[in-house]
Amino acid sequence: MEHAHPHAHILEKEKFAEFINALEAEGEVIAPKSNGFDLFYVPIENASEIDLSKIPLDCPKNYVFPITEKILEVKDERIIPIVESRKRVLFGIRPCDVAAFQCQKEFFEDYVKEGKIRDPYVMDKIDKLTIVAYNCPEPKEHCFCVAMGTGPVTESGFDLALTDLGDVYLVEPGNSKGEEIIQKLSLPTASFEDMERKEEIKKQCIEKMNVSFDAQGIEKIIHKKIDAVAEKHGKKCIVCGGCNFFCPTCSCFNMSDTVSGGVIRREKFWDSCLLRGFTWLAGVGFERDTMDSRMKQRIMHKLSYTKEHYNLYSCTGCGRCSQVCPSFIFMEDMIKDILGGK
Amino acid sequence: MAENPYVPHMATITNIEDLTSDIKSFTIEFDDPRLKESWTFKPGQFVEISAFGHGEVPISISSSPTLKGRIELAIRNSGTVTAAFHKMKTGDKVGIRGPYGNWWPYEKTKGKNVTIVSGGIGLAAVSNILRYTIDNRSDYKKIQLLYGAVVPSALVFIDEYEKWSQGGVDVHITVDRRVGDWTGNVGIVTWLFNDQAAPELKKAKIPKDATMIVCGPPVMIHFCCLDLVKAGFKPENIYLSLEGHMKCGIGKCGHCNIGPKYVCKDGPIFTYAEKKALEGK
Repeated sequence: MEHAHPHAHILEKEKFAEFINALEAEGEVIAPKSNGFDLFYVPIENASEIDLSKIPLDCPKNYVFPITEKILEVKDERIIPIVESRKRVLFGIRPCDVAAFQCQKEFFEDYVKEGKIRDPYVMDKIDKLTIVAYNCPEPKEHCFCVAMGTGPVTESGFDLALTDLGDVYLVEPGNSKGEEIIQKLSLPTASFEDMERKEEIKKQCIEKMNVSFDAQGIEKIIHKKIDAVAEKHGKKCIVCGGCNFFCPTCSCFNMSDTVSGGVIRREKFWDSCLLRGFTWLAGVGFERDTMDSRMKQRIMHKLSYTKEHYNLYSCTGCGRCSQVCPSFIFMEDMIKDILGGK
Repeated sequence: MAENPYVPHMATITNIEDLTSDIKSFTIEFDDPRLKESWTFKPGQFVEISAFGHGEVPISISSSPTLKGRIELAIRNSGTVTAAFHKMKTGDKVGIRGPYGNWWPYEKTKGKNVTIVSGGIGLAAVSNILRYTIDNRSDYKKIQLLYGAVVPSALVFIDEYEKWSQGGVDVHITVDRRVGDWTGNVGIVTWLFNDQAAPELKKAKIPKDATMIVCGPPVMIHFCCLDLVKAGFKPENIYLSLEGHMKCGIGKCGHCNIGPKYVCKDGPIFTYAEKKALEGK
């Protein structure tokens, strides 16, 4: 057919439940669901629980990098590694979070100079993910993915991407796995007109987001302003670590042992670079004792260091750190301050 | 399945020696006989050692890779995990992961002069290359050790200085404060080579082209490097060891991250030039 798009397909909204059921073959379906306060990514049992109406406050990194995770046990002088990995479908994740998984992947697998060290705890989970992205029809307050080049429409890093075209969903495969899922469901192909509607939705979302800055290339100029910016914004920080915990790319952790019933358990758990104790070294002291130095490390890491390490900004512009900050420290403001006078 | 880098190997403490009132040296052997045979490292690398039930800490291997079948670790009682080690006895089990990090320039200094400047427990992080050069003495020109501690009782490996001298090392020991019947040098370790007037100390003569290896408390490293540069040594030719809370040892946990570098993975050994580039990061 002349007007058929070669890859994109159409999902009728009445067939949404059927679509979700089909995804269950790929693993446990995790999707945004309301808890009455906001949307969080949780395992769902029924398609009707899924809520795509707004961008979840939660980010889905917990499913590859849990808040706490048992990594091994020692019993009777034997060390038993415990690597949980299960097939999961992350449904309805936003383009910013798709980009965040790319960062996690680069960091936990590829960023080593000599010899490859693969973190099985994160990578085994990532490798078993099926990512069904949902392109954003609407931005949320603090969204600035446009400035970071990650959204509001995802270009790569997913298996399937959905776009709400109003009466139907546009379904695009990101790889052969996505194509197979589409084939199994025998979804009809989309028309070029449908693709134009997607473009129109993207355009509208960008307009509504109304981002006045572009962070591309920020790593080249960041050193000029970083000290002043880290000081100005760091001053307001109450050191709660919320920005780290809601950030989809933050991946610092600590490890500790517990003992019960003769079994020693080693767990890893999220840590926060903004906490003073983060760089504490027994017998030596703190590498970063001041708030400015910790804020500087965080911003530099997001906007410069990972760009240097694996050519990605580890700020995706999701705006969650800004949403949750009790001191109203906004990442977008810090970026604007850095770019100011560019 | 690829190897899980977080899983230690079971090992046994086969000997414990008191080095000072708060530093003990632990000799450790892997339980797996094949691993005991094959496991090796380069001088300057560290391991993550587990006190099961207490946690894991990064410790430099103080022995040389020329010592086969076992490793030695000097541990100061300074935190919760290290305190647990200090309560351990011969025969107790520990976990070992590694070796991690980069190493002292023991290859590119072959045929050259090597001078080690060290303070306090820092000697345990350079004794590996010192012992390695002694075991491969003919590969190097002059080997020199300048070592200092606050008081005589804080000097580590005190029984070995004579042996090292006999092994062909120009050994200079000093203490900041004379205590008891100490008859040796008195003065800060940097006084051994800088222009500070020090009547109670015999100066050491460092070859102008020596590769410098520096390890000690951060404040000692700082002043030592300043003095070395003043004395004409190039920052690129001064190697030092940085410390960090290297929790994972493989550049993932983020604790030892300084600027774009991870001390555990990009270091712990940096040249003074590299360290200066990290300052203010």
